[in-house]
Amino acid sequence: MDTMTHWHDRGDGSEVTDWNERLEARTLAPVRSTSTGYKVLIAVLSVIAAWGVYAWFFQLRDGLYVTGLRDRISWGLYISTFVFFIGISHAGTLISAILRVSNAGWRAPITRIAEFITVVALIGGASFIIVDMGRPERLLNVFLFGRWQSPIMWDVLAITTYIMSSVIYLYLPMIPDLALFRDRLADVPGRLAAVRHRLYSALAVGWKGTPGQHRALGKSITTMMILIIPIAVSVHTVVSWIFGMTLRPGWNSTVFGIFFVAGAIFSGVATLVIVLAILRKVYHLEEYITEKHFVYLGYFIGSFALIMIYFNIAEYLTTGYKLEEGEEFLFRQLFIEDFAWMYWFYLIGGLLLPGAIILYRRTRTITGVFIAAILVDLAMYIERYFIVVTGLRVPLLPYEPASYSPSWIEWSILASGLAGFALLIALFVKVFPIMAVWEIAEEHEARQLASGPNVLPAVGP
Amino acid sequence: MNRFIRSGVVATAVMGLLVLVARPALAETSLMVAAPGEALVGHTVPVTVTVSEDGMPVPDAVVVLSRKAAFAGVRGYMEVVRATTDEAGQVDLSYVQRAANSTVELRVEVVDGDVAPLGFVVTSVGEAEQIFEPDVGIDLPGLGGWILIALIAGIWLIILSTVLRLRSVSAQGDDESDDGGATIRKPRLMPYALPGIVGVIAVVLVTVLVRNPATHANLEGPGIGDRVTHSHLGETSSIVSPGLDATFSQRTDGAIEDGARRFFGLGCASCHGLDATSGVVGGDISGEVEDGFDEFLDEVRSGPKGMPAYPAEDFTDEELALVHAYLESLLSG
Repeated sequence: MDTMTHWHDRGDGSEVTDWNERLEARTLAPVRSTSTGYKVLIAVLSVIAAWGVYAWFFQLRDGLYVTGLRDRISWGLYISTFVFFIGISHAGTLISAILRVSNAGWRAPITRIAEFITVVALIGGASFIIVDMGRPERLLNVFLFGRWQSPIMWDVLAITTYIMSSVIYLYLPMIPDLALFRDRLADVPGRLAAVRHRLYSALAVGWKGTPGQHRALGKSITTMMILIIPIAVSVHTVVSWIFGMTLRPGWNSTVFGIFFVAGAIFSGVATLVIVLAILRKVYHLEEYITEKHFVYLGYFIGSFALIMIYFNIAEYLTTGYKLEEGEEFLFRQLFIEDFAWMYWFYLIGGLLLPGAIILYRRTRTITGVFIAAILVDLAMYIERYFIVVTGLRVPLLPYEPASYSPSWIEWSILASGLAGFALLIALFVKVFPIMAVWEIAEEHEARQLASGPNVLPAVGP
Repeated sequence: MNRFIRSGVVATAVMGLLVLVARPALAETSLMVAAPGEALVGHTVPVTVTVSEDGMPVPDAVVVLSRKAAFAGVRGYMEVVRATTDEAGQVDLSYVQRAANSTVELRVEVVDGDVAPLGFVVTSVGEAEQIFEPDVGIDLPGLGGWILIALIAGIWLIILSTVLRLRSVSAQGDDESDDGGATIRKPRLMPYALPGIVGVIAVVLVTVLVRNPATHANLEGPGIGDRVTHSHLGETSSIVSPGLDATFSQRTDGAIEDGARRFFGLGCASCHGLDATSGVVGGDISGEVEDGFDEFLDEVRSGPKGMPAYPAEDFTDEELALVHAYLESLLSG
């Protein structure tokens, strides 16, 4: 064993290996130093986010009249964005909880980022509900007069439960890493040193890594990882029921719950790929987040593309075969008229093409998976948009179909929401450990023990 | 005589000619429709059509009743019912008058018949009432919202249990204040703040569910969850639903008032109306009330004419006695 690890004294009496020290250094690097590029990024994102708040001010002052939303098409960009964000939030659950339950070793370096995407996306999604309200202060009425018979109430219950449990599920496995930050960052000078130390101390709840602490924390993590899977599935099912519980053509579907859950995982994994690729590049995490991770996530994207294609056939063939009056209108606008370019981009550019990129060995690279992920995210946003708008556009009474185009206010708030998403992730990596150091180390040890000293050169760089 | 005969022949010839000319006309199919000019919304309109030829009934003719309709820019006749005539040449084409406040334009025609379609109109009378209103949402018999409350409370208790373990983690870190040179502050905040936040949200969510008002068709008695009473004695009901369209105003003594509360709170008024006589779903029950309490009790327990039977677990005899007393005073006053 001595040949494979290089122990040395850290200077404070504790001994670490080179490998462990490098891992810690990589994880601590974003906190230790701030580049100019980072500051510029934060500034740009803040400006975009602030612009959205400025636009929201007009909406608060003058009402939803300033948007493109009217009586017939009363849901548009905001609700599409809400569904999109809630969809993205499935990244964390799927990667982290399902892979943890199935004990997939390769998950370790990417779980933290996935879990954080979940929390940020949920915050983003919930805020778009508030943005969609003409009178946001009436949100309180949901709690004062909410009735469990209403799907809106189911949404409130499911999303609240999901936000809370994702925050906990993000926090619990982070405790050992927070303790690491508490101990290793004590020497970093600066005005914020004291604040930072107090923050990490409070959040690390006195973690020292004793066996008893490991047992207690392990139990909590195990409970949460099992609990959070059904909660996550329920969240997107219930979001789909906001649509599915009505009699509108295009929404009146029994398959909507599963359809939305599959779409959520699909776009969630795609978002995870995009964020991972960027963070890997910026913070030089190539040693931990490898091509293998992208290829595995690519397999997820590929198989979910197939599932989504299947759902499209299942949904549109059953309704199209019967072709009720409203469905006929829906199909015309979706397949050949106003929204046709969106639908066909979604089907060809967002489902078939990413699937092909993953299937073809030569394009199944980091770049290939990254491009596929961008296509998927774009297509899935468009899908949410046309599901919301085309459903509402079908006239159920004898009147001319309405039209909807988002106003500059809506575009501004959308941009602000996406910028806010990026901003929160950028701030997170500045404050919290972006990788689960202890899980990576555990997995590394397990692999070394399994492979033995002779294979060592293949493990490290 | 000759002249008489001649004129007779001419007359016969003319008549014969007339018969020859008129014969197709006499043989033409004729259509007779018997239908009322007015109909109650939601009620069946009896339409009887007789098809005859030369005064003889035509059996096995296919007759179609359609109504004029317009939808999404398309106008035309929409088939309502189609049937075949019997031996007497008659067919029943009754339909349900669904459109409120309007005159329905109808048309009867014989399929493959050489008779022009016959049009007629039936005007709706009465208010735009919904004849049958299903409960909105999901109601699990006997469980109601409690299964959802139990689910939410259960999930949140599990979440709470996971964050409560932070206290155990924290307690094991407390005994030493120094680790690897860095001072560990005694962690006091997170192990208590996080369970606190979880607990507060859980209580809020469960409270929202528990406070959920019973729907008008929910037969749970008045209790902690009831915030919207259907009607207050002496006040105008703000809720208009089947049977609750009248203004109820009466001051009565305590026991009667108790019965009134139950009449509304248990949901009787939802079907039988505020005055127990005007209900759209359940109809007039003044007869059952007048028959005496035993008869009344029997009716509630057995559930006649499509009314659900309510066993003693739902309403006790005492409660029903109060309701009966109230209704008696109401109907006599």
